[in-house]
Amino acid sequence: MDYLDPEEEFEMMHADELEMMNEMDFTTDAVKICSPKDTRRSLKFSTRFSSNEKIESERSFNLSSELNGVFPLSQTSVVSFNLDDNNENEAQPSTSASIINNKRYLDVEDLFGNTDDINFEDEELEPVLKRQKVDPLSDKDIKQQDLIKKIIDQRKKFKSGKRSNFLSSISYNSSNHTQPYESVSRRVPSWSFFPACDGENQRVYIRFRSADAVHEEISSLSWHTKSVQLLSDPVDEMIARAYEKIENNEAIRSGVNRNGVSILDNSIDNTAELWVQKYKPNRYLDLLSDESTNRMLLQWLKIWDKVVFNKEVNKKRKVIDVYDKSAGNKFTKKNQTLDEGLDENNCPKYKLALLCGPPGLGKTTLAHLVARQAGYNVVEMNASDDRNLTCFKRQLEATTQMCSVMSNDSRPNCLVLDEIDGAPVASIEFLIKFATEKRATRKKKTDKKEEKSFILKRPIICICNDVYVPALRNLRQNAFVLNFPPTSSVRLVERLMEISSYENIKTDMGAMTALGTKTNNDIRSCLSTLSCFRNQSVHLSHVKNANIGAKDMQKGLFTVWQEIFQIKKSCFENNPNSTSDGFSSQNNVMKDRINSVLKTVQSYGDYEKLCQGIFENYLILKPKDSSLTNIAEGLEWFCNFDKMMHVINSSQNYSLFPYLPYNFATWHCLFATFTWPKITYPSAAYEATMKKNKFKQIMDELMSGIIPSIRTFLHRDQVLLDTMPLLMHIAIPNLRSISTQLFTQKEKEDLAKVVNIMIDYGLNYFQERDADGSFNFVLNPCVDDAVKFPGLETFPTSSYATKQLISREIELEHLRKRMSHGELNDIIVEPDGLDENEKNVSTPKGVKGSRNKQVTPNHLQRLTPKIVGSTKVTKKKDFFGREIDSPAGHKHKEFRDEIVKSDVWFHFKEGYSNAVRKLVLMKDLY
Amino acid sequence: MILVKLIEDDDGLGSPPEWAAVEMQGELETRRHTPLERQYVGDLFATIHDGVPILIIGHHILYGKAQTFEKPFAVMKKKPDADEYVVEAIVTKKLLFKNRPKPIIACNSDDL
Repeated sequence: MDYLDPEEEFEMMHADELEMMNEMDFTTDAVKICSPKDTRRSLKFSTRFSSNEKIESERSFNLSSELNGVFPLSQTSVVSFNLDDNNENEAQPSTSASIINNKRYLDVEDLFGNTDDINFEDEELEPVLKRQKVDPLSDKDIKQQDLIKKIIDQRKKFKSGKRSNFLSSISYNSSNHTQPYESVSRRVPSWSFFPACDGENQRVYIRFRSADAVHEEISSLSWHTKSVQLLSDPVDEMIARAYEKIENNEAIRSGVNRNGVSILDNSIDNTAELWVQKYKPNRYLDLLSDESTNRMLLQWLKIWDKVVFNKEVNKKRKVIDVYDKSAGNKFTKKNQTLDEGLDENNCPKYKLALLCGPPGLGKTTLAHLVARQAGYNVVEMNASDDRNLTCFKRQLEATTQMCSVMSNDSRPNCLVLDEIDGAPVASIEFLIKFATEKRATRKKKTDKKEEKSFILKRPIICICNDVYVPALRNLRQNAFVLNFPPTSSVRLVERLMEISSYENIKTDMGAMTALGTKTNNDIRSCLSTLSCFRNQSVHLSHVKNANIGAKDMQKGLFTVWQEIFQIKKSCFENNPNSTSDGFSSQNNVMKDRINSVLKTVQSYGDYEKLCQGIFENYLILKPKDSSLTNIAEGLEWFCNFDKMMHVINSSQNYSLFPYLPYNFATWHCLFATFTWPKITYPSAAYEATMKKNKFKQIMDELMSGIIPSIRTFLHRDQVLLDTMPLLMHIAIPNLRSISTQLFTQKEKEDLAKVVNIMIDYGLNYFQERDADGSFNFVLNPCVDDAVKFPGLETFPTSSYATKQLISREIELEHLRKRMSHGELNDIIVEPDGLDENEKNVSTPKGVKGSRNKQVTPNHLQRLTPKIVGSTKVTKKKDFFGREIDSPAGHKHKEFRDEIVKSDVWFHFKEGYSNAVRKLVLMKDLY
Repeated sequence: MILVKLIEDDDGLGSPPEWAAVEMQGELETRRHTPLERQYVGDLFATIHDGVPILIIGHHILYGKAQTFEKPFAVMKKKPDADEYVVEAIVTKKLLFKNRPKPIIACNSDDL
């Protein structure tokens, strides 16, 4: 009901207040107490007082005069009340009537179903109108009349709307029905009827009516309701539209089914659902991924039938294998042939399947779908699950050994481990053990069948993106590996076209192909990109310019290098429209190239490694120009890169980091060719680091070996560069290979000098056995390796015998020094007298021990009792030193001696218990 | 074999004196490696009640028992200038000491 003009509205709004004012005049005391909150109550009061208009009209005068002060803003109301002042006779009742009307109006609005009120209203209003028509009409009167008329109209409309609810009791005149008839009768009617009973058990006859008649009635009613406009659109229109929609849906669904894609029932309006989910393949045939891969996984699952469902494996399938012509899929092919066999438990050889491939090819979808197709209940674990060892173990055992009891679903489980490359290594190890080791233990215990043998009897499908993650190395060997080839772009584009036609996206093949290439045939990415263009048209330019769809995917190290070293041909192909002027196209191509290189390098991130790879490979590749200017420039950029890296690493200031990729862009410009680059993995840096560490260790050893008096004057680098290379030449004595006794004096001096030098620098020769079994003396620490610089002449080496001699002399010299330190000068060691054998016993302590004592050899030594000096008879002395005799003690001693010191003593011979008694006759002896 | 002339009984019958042989488990040795001839060896006693022989050599005391030979021995002495032997005695029993000797420890009242 929106037909109120501002005036009306105002009056309606303030009707309560006006009434309240009236009331206030009655109860003068209560004026101050009354507040707007009490409007409801006051309204009731007013209804009560509404009957006696007389009083009201009397009071309205005062009210209006008061109103001037109260509502200064509401001009219209003030005017109307001023009018009342002027012609009191006529206007007063009308004003009151209008007030009453307004008030009634409100009442009706409050109590919607009260028909008595309406009837009363109509009767009431009639006289008012009549009265008003008699009067000469001023402007204000017309206004009021209009208002009243409108109110009456409203009433009527309301009434008619209300009555239209009761279809059975249509008895009003305004409609098309000329003769009103009753539907219910208490007597037996002439028309066709249906007998029934009412609440008081009285017979009632209800009229039977034809459907057409009812329809007619309904249409007539709808004509009325149309005028009311309760709804924004008429019902029949809405129904028609709904039918239309349903038909559309049907058409689409049937069309979709025909094309092999199915849509969920509520697909059209359900925008919340992802398109990936919406257009998910529901049948094996709908799968978009490579057919041979799909088939292989299904076959692998089917091999489980024997153990899971106790069904014979269909042998016919082998024939199909022949037709698997997956291009370049030798690897999977090989696995496939291995795959068919069953082990002694009727389980497939590979208990795990490992699907690997870049994201968005539908690996997870395939696994789910195929497992469902093969009759399994799919249990998925992915990166969002807790995958530490204990949880993983629990889940694994739960899914493979148990079956869901609560649900009616009695299908066996098939575990799908998604994104397994992110799982902790321990979990993966456990998985492998779980799948394979059980087999081994089982083999051992073939006789004890009752042993608890948890053989894995459910298929497990693992899914990963990169199969060459170190954590998966073991899994790779123990699983049936299926590499996902990229989805064929033809099929992808076909499917995309289908989907866009269902989604009312206007597009063409070119745009979809571009989308496919942009996303690397990633179905998921394609669909999500497409869904951004919902209800729009998609053209090639849209796809090209859209920033979405390109996934932040990390490429492999070699791929990045290759991209840097190789110019993509597609760069030229993709810009066919810009061939008009060569220069700009060249520019564009260059820009594209640089951008793509930048993007790739940035996504990889490990700039140092990339740089190493480029540095090691750029010279191997075919140079672009013979003058080598490119290479020279490239080298400068290498220097630049190195400097930047140095600053970054030394100051930990990564603000320079974003500039690093531009080096790669430059290298790309300088080195890239169209030929396929043969890139080797950079190893020089690693080798150099290893070498450096090794030599550093040697130098440490050497420095710690040099005796302190010399070490104080030496620096590490000094030793390495100046001292040691020369020392290698110096420490070679010119000796003849003869016995040391026959050396000349000079030779002896030489030897002594070499020995002293070597001792000073802590060097020595050590005997070592070669791989072929021959002995060799090696310098220890092996400084000769460290100081051997390429380009220098090799050091002269002395013969085996000389080395041996020097080694022995060094040992002896050490010994001598140690002895002199230990102040054992009296024992002279004759080095020349020692023979060869003794020299090899080089432990100085042993040598020292054996030489110090010149006594009888051990086997000749005997234990001899120690001769103790005879105890002297000490005579007791008294305080003054005089000897004291103890006669008693002396006598006792003598007595004791008598007993003990008799010359003859008895030597008891116990004999042996094992004596043999034997009769020996005299004649036997002779 | 050591023959011992036992102490004569005072029966006064004029019978030849009784001798006994002493047999010991072990040897007699001298401390200074002097020959045993004409050496003092020890004291031989017999208990009063049951006649158990007791021999004390040096600081050893040996308890033995008396046994009779199955065949008695005769101790004969050659006359100096004729080929005649005079029976000195008939040895009919031996004193056997086969148990381990017990040491005799001299003890002084002072030492205690």
